[in-house]
Formats: sequence, structure tokens, C-alpha cells
Amino acid sequence: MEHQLLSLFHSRRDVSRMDVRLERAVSKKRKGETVTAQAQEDQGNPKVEVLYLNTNAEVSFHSSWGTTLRDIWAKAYVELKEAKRDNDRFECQTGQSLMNSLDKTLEQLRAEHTCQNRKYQIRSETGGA
Amino acid sequence: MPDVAAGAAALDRHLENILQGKDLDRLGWSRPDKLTLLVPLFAQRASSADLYLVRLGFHSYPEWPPSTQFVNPESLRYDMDTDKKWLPKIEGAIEIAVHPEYDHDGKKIQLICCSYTLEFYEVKHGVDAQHLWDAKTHTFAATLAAIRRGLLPEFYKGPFEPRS
Repeated sequence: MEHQLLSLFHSRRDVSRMDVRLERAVSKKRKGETVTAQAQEDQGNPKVEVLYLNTNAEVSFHSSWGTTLRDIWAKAYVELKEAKRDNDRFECQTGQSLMNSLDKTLEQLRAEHTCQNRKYQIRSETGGA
Repeated sequence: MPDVAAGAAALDRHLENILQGKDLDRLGWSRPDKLTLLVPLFAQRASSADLYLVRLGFHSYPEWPPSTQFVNPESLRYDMDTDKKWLPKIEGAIEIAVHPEYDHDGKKIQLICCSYTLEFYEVKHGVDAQHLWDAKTHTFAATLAAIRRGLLPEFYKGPFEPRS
């Protein structure tokens, strides 16, 4: 049993190693992209990422600091080519709910340090307990 | 009769989308047969992380959600007399619960009480229409996301029985 657990842990460690190698391999390319992305942010076009947990599909697009989360959420469905469901919830990818912040702008969220990396997720509520 | 060929084909298709070029082994996942996927998940506590292994069965997929069970990582099965330590205790989450011995049709079974698991429908658990599994939208990624949410520190209370 311990052997299997160790194997699983090693698998995860290997993933981390692979990630590091990939990170290094594309670092030069990324430097160029970072300059472009940073320039876009400076010009008021922050990048946002939205993960659709129902399918694990992810989209990213540039927005503006004055855009509300509600608008970002709506645009994400268009980009994902999915329809909004009544029980969908908008969250930070840490799992923190953002349903009480939908009318806040990215600027306001940045000021209050909420989901600062702008990586969001759409989760459908389930029935259960 | 479940259409097992359809289940295997849907798993092929959805797995490709979800992995996005990543290697199954590298993620620590495994597919011992065409209709089974084993996925390790970590639950976070204040001072440590606990490993769990979820076995997903795709014999009725995608019309129904995958069969979903926490299993002993050694036997890849769940024996309720000895394997409760491989089940997470989830408290305070209104969307998911784990029952180590759920009474159903005169038998006791493990039940992950969540509308994105097959067993939830097999025991005919009550559910609001808005929470039903939707074969057109959902994939097994939704099942894993629901379980991962239950394993967040705010809900996770450790294994059902101590491991040492």
C-alpha cells in the first residue's frame, strides 16, 4: 500500500519536475509574450482566465479595469460556447465565491486584493447532502 | 442495458479534452480498463494533506454520471469493514456528503451523495431539477470538481477513521 501511495506522490513530483522543465523551455518565448501582455495591462487591458468546471474547458481574453465581473462572466459563456445554467456560480479558482462581487469592477477587486490573478471558474451547483 | 461502448467512447473523447495533451500517468491517473478511471485527489488540512483515490466507472456514461467511489489505493476497492480510513469526512457542504454505510435495498453501500454521481440516482435520492446531471453539458470533470470542492479545508474534516 505504501508503495502505491509513494508511486502516486512520485507521479505528482514528476509532474512538478516536468512543469519546471517546460517552464524553462518556453521561458524565452514567454519573455516576449510577457512584454506584450504587460503592455496591454498598462494600457488598461488586463487578461482574465475562466475555467468551466463542467468540462474543464478554459478561455482567456483581455478586458478592461472598468469591466464588472458580471460582464466577464457573460463574455466567458460566449467564448466557451456554453449556455448559462440557473445554478451556475462564479468563483475565483481558489474556490472563493464571487457571487457577492459580480457588480464590482476589476479595478475595485484589485484594490481590495480579491482574486488578484484574475483566474476565475464557473461551477454548477450540485444537489446532495 | 447500459451502452458500454458508448461509455468507453465518451470517456475517450472527454479524457482527450480534459488532458489537453498531458500524459495520464504523469498526472498520477490511471485507466485500468476502458470503463474505469482512477484519480488521486488531495484534501487539505491545516497542517497536512491527505491522499484519496477515486474510482470512476463509465458503464452508463454519458447519459448518466460516472459511478463514483472512494477506494483503498492498494485493493482499488471499498470494504466497509476495513476501508473507512480511505473515505473523507465532509461536513457543512450542502452540495455533497459521503456516507460510508448507506442503506439501500437491504444492503449497505458507500454513497457519495452528489447529483453528479451515478449512485445518487441509483438510490433514487431526491433532487431539484436544476441540479440534475445534464448529459449534453456535463462531463466527468464536473464530478471531480464537485468532489474537489468537498475536499476544501472549510468542509474537509479528515478520514472517517484514523490511518495509523
